[in-house]
Amino acid sequence: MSMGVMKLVIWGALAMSSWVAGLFFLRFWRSSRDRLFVCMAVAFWLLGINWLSLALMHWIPETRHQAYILRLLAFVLIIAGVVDKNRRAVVAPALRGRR
Amino acid sequence: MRREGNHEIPAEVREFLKGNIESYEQLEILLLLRGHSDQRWTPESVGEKLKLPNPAAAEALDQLGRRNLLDVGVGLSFRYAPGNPNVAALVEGFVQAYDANRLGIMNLMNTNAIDRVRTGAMHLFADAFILGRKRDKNG
Amino acid sequence: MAELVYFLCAATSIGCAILLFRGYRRSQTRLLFWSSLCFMGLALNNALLLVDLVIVPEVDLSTARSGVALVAMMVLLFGLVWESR
Repeated sequence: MSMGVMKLVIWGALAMSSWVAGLFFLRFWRSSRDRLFVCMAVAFWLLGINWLSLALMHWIPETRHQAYILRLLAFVLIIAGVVDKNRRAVVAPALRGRR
Repeated sequence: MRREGNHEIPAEVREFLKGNIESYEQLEILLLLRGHSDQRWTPESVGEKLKLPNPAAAEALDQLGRRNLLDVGVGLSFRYAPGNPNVAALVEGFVQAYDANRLGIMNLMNTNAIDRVRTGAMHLFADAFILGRKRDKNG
Repeated sequence: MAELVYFLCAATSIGCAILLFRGYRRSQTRLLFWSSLCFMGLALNNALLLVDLVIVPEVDLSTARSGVALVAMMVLLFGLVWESR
């Protein structure tokens, strides 16, 4: 088996596992209504699309960094989610008893 | 998965139950204090009356107090005192539902307890991302 | 510019891994342990990306990189499925 095929298999597996991980986070969001989980879900889906695009498109070195815009978005989204979570935590500590 | 009797319980009672009453101790203690709303109770007096161990009574009283259902006084004494008329109305609605359909309420509490276990890990995941948390005495 | 992107991704992953591991230490909840491992793996994946594309462009590390990421995702899925009851 050539390296090229191996990479495609791995990227495909990564795309699928990102989809599933995102689904779990989406379910967590439905249960908890915590916006952080939406960010996590979408972030993992973006990572999945990123890996998929690596598999499906032929990237030349000069513009390859464009392929990673999605990855950047994913992690920026996680950062945004964490910042948002911390803002919310400070504002409403008294409500934490109620779930 | 419908359990028998659930359909009679109004939505706001379900919500009240889910958010405020986590255990049978809390249920019994709330009913006890509401039934004697002129008295102040301590964990010891509650424990003796309901045949509960003191720590369990103390924890349940503490939880109910934090939910704006009880007035917490000096020397760890508690009295039934809902924080506002809405809360009081919710408690009354709950008591009605409990009297009318005890089995349904119990089943609901079981379901809620199972849900809480299931979602405990999830909440801890989200809470892990809170920075600079106050460290409790356990580190 | 590209280096900055990869570096930011790696740094964010490490941050998440640290927060989750800290949470695991506090609560002993295994889901947080597995998630923390996943983010460490993703951090390693991004670090290898930096190394691969910037430091040793003549060597192709893409299989190793994506392999590391795959292991990380498998660990995460294991944690999510196993610890979800």
